[in-house]
Amino acid sequence: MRKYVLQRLLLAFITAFIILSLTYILVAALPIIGTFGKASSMFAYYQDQVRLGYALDFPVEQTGYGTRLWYYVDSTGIAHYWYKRPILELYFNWLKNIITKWDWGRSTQIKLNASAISIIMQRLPVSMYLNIISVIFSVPLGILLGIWAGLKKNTWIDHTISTLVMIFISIPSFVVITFMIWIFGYQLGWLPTQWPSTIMPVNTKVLGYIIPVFALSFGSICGYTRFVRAELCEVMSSEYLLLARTKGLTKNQAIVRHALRNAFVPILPSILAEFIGILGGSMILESIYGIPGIGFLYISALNTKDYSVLMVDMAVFTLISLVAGIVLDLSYGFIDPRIRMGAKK
Amino acid sequence: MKKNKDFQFEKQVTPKNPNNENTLVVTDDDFKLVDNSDYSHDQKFETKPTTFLKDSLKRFSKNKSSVVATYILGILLLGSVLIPVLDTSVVDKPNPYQTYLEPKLFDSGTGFWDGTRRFTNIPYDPVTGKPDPLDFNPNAIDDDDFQQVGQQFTNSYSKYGQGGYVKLGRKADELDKDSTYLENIGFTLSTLVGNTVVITFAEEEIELTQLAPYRIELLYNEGVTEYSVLLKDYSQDFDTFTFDLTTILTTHDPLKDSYDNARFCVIVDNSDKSLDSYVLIQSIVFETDSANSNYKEMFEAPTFTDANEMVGRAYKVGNYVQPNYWNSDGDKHLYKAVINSCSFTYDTYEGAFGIREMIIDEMTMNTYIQNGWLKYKYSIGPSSFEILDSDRCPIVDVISQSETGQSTVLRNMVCKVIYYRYLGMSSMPRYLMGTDKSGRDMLKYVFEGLRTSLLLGIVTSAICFIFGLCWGAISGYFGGNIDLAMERFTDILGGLPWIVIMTLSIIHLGQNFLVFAMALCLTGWIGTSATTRTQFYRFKGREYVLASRTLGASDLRLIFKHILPNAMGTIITGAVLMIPGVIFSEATISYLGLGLKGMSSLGVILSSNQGELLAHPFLLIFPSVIIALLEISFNLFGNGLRDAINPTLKGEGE
Repeated sequence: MRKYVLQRLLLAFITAFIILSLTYILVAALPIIGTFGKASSMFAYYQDQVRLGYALDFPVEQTGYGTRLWYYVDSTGIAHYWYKRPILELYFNWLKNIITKWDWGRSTQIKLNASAISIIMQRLPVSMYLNIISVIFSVPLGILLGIWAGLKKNTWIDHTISTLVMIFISIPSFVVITFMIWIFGYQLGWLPTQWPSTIMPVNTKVLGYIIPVFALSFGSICGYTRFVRAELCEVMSSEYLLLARTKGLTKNQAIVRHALRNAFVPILPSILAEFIGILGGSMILESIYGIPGIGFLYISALNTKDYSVLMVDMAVFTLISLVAGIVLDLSYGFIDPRIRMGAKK
Repeated sequence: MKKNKDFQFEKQVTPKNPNNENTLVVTDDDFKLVDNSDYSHDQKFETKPTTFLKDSLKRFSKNKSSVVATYILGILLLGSVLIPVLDTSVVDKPNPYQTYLEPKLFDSGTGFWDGTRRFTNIPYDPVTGKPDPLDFNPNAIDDDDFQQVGQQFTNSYSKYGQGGYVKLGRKADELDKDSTYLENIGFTLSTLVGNTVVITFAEEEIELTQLAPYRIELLYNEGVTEYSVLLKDYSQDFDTFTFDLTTILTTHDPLKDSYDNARFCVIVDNSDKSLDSYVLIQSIVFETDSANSNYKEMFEAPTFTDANEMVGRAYKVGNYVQPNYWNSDGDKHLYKAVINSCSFTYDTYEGAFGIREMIIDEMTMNTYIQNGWLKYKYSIGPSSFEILDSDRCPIVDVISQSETGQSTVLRNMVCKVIYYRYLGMSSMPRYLMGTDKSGRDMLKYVFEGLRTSLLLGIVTSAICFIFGLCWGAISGYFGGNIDLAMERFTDILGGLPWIVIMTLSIIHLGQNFLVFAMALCLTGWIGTSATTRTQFYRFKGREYVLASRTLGASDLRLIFKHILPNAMGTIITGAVLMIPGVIFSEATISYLGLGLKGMSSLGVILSSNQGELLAHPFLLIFPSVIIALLEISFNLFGNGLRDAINPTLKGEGE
């Protein structure tokens, strides 16, 4: 088991390294926008780039270093010419900066000259709070609905729940969010039509959580309901449950002691993986509702071509999905020792 | 025949021992069938032999919801092919005459889906009792439903508004400013005649703001130097004040009788930052005793007694056209003007295509006369108008005719025109899903979008299916190190979030169909390959494969003849279920504003109409319903297919 865990971790590390390297090289190959912000902050930006090893500073104009990016005369009258270094050099300097200084580059558009990692750290809590609330809300609800539907299999309750789940899984989330905002925000006026800013009164802020939490929960409630129902139905028709009943257990005892426990074996790992997903932000929801989380940051960094921030944001999403995958796989083995992931035969 | 043969055989083997005395002789009569009719033997099957496909189809048709979903899917597919071809309306270029038509299925007056829209709180003209005819064609307003709601306040200019105040305060983003001013554009002031100005302030509290102290000055220029005469120092009296400008300026400088660039100026003190402060000015009236009309006009220009009217009027002083005579460095806007508002049901089709008054020029009229639709004589005028073809004639009535003496200038007629006939249509159009901001027929537009989405889904799924199948087959069949290497590759590729791949492809390669298909294919095949690999592992050790291998079958034969046919069902359903996933991904990325350029897909349509949700919800409802229907029916169809092809999986993931 330990060997397998180490193997998985090593593999995940290599995967993350390759993915991030590829992403960085692809992003670095994009043309950088020449001017942004005021001249003085531009100067500071390029000085920073020189310090971090992404650009070269020449006192006189030279050729042979690719496209000239920018020209600036500082207050002492010295002319500066900045050149972007070759991509591979950029890449190795980027790696060096991350390993030695934990420096992921500078933002150009979102917040000029701020370090990209600090911007992410600023935005992360908002997405996290929302996700935590929605997980707390959706996991029990989804499981309860799933158990209810599974126990009342092939009755109208089961059919209603299954149909609703089917519908909500199929409708794109942006449609649901848009119409929720339309109905509850504009038509009925109960909820704020966009994410309340920090100066809003507390009750508006609390109300502002309702639509995002519902929107985030819909998907996972449906997913859990479907998953739990399917597992429970399978367990309910198994022989050992019949044995449990024949040896004299009441239906409730049989369900709680045998059916649910076994049904939860594949469900628990996905709940654990869900908790890793807390760190991620929903791009759709955040950009529709104007929530300043990392999903919205991704879209705005992409639209304004702020590549450093985009890079870090991509890294966050990639790492989340990798770690969630590992947790999912490993926890199977911990919860049910019979399942030995990666076993040869 | 067989029966007799058997008996003969029985007879032959009957043991007969000639040495034995007690010979047992068995004759036919010794055998008696218990029941003649009960003799059973191999019979031909009454039922017809079935194939795997037929059996699957039978199982599929038992699943009612999947069958319904298949029909819906069929209708959508058919619609996406036929509607863009059959619907002749133009969606490539804007049709400005038919913007924002409501969806219409039934005749107007039905109350539902009939192209009418309920308007509430629309200002109306107190004289005619109708809203602005430029915005609302009076013929299209349902008179039975017309309600005058009453008076309401508005803070923005309305053509039919009255009264209100000019609210003057600091701009919201200029917190450091201590004062703001309001002044008229300077005029020349002569003290030789009596000039007065009357200003009325209103005292009305607005929530979360306060009334500010103010000061009144008269500014003028001498050369480039600016001088000011204080008329009233800082105070908070909100009342009517009259300033006799002649007397004040005479006492200010008795020798000077003309002032250049004279400005009447109200200065608001904003030094108190705790609350937003402002003043409300009800009216400022300039009066003069002069008989000179130019001088009088100059005085009338900045005068206002009705703030709403002032905001709306365009002032003309000399050749200088100024939409608003008053300058301010702060936030100056209309506050609390009164409007009469009404609610009514408006037939958008009647409004856009119905009878309206418009000018028809001589050339158009000549065409109509040549077509034989009407009779008209320019020399006689409107009274000579006569309709000849009432089914096609666009003109209902000629109201007046412009008289031009020169023969080179075309005459114009003001006519009542049936507009759709004027546009060359034979009947009033009917748009099932309404039209959008550039007058596009939403039905055609949405189904064209559906076609693009489906095409993208099918093309992508097909590519992913083929590639994933090959990859998974190789990986699963050969196993060992090949499998290990291939698996690690898919692991790494699968670790990339699809949004990252999508984003990078879009910024590097642009936003067109092929890039989207490629980007979605890049990771899309992994699912198929994983399923195929598992299936291959499942079947490659079976006895029939082994048997075939011992008989010398090649790898290709084993893969395509023995393993693949068994694995196909599961793999195909996976591929079918991939189509809605691809459509979903495309719609999502389009909705985020990174969608296809120059092509309409469902996501692009939804994304471009995002802002219309409040005013025209139907523009979002129809595409949303279509995309939801598509996704639901695809999923139901896919699930049904999976259950039918692979009955052991039934119930999983429902």
